[in-house]
Amino acid sequence: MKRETLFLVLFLLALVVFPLVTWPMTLSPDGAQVWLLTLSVASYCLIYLINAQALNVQVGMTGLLNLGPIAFVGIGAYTGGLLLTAGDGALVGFYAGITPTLSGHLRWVLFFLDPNFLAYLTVIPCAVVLSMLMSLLVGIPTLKLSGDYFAIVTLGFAQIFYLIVKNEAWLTKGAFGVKDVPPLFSFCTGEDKIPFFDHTAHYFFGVAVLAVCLYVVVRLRDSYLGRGLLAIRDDELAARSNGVNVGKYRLLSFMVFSGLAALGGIVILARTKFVSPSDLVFWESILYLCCVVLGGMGSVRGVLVGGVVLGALGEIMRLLLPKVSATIGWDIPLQIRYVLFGVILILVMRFKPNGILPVADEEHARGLEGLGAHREVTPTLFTLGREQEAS
Amino acid sequence: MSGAAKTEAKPEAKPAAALELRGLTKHFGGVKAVQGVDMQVAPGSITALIGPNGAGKTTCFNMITGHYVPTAGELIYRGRGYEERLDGQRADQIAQRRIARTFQNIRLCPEQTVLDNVRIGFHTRRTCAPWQVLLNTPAFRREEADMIASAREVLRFVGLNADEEGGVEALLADSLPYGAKRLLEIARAMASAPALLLLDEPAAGMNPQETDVLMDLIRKVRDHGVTVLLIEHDMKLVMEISDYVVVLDHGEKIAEGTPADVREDPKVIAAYLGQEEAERRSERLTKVEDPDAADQTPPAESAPAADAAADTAGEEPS
Repeated sequence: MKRETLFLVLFLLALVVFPLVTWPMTLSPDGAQVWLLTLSVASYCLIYLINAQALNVQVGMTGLLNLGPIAFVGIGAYTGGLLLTAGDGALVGFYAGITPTLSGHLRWVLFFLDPNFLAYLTVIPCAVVLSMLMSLLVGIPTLKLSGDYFAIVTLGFAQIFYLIVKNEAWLTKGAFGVKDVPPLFSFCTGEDKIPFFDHTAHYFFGVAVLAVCLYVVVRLRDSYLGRGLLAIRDDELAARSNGVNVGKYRLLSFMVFSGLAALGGIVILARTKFVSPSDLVFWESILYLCCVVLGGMGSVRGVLVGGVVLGALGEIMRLLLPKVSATIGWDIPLQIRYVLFGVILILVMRFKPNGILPVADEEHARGLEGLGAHREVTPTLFTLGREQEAS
Repeated sequence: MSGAAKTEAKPEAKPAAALELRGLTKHFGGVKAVQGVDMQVAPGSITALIGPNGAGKTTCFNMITGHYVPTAGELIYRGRGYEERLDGQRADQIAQRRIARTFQNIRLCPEQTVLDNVRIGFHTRRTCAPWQVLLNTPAFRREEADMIASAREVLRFVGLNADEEGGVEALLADSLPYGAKRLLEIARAMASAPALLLLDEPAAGMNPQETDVLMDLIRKVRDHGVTVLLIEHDMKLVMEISDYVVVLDHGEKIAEGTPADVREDPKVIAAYLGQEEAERRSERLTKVEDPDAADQTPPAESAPAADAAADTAGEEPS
């Protein structure tokens, strides 16, 4: 446990320090471009880290396969986007009226007084609460469903949510999406913007959300709540007999997931300042799931690694492939990166079926002498749906 | 045996059985798995529930622990100092009432450590609220530390080495040998500080040495103030440690009493070995007993039901 905490703290520290250390790169125009690209890839990656970590609570720890996590990310992003753009930015306007107007470097030193930032802070709880309520709405009637059936319900919910968002234009602005969402800080864009601040702001915002996410997940896991969830995953019958209210704990894991996923949605919003139905496609759900499975279900560190691999790889290839194509004079389609994802997944499933950093590896390392042969058992995606046989 | 004295008196006369089954019935469609079973479990005793395979013993356990809803009948529990009904309660609600159980087929969390498996047993005893977990308050940290300390204590109680260095606590539960897994399941049950402990075939698959250790442990649990109700096919264990035995066959209670009474009961012999064998044995017994005093009866012969039951248990694994 202690080693894991150290790993997580160092990981977050590295994320914070990295752009600061490489800041001198921005002094040359070429370097600045590379720096911005790197930061952009990293902040894109953060979205996967956050959402995969959220999904890990439900899929990895509780063993409830959720095939529609993107719906809850979408609820977060759409709630944030719609509230921030409502009435031509009335929320930002409201905060602009009650906060002092700052100028120069004072603006980022006193960033917490920025009207945009305050508006974001206001919509975050709204998004989280709405997403959690939605998870209750989906979760309560489906509590008794196990495994595959629950997965199908979440898949259906994600599709319905996608169709509603696409078609109910009066509420969601339809297929064109929510445009012109104000940036995280008022000085990110416009005439008097601080250079490079836009990228830096949503990057650090993402890191902060990831830190919150990791804290919640680790606290949850290392408590009776998490032990209840793990017990449900491993043996539902035994969990019941030990006093775990299975229905309540399943709801808990669903709500924690949906709350954290809504935070991930806000991070997407802060990054792109735009959200549309095309962000809510099934493919995204599968990518989040892949991060969890690839990294190691239930393992906080593993899922971080999975998120880094899948999140960064796609972005890096998207940036590099056109250059490679140009060099070799051969048009490689961008979609080839999806093929690579498939290859990576197959290789991991073949050589590390429990993920890159499975929980069992962390836990069994100590003192194995003198006892029977050790066998690793971590649930794989394929045992999730198996129903508990009655004794 | 301290419990033996208690059961000499008629158990029906006792006003406060820890657990009372009144006409407990469970039908699965047309199958009458359990049919109107009445039984009482005296507080502080070891009561055994025996019977041939398919007699409805585990179904009874599942009804007591809330995994099945009884078709009819009542379950009355007095483990917390007052009378309460158990039927209609969910399994986790029953666990909150200090009733713990183990399973016929071991149900541990295989890829969690031994210590974590025991800590699941503390689930009903925690006091901290979720917000305390989230804020990692001192009260929560104290509770966690206490929990680890008492989890080690429980592991030592059941006879698993809980030393921090070289002990079993950091191992994955799945890596333990079979007998140790059984002990770990009992440890998990004991972690909830139960008033009533239900053991479903604790000695299944154990060798004689392991069974001896288990018998000592069950007595130790009883001496700890826990009422024990167990299902077991190992007749040596049942006859040696039980204070009271209830026999089921085809979902109905066919006999009850002290181990000595039950093993002489012709109905029990009939259930295990068939009607003919029961008649032959009772004839033989009367022949042996009539001419001479009882001391001529060899000890092995005096326990026909026990032998018979042990035989059948061996032939037809459950």
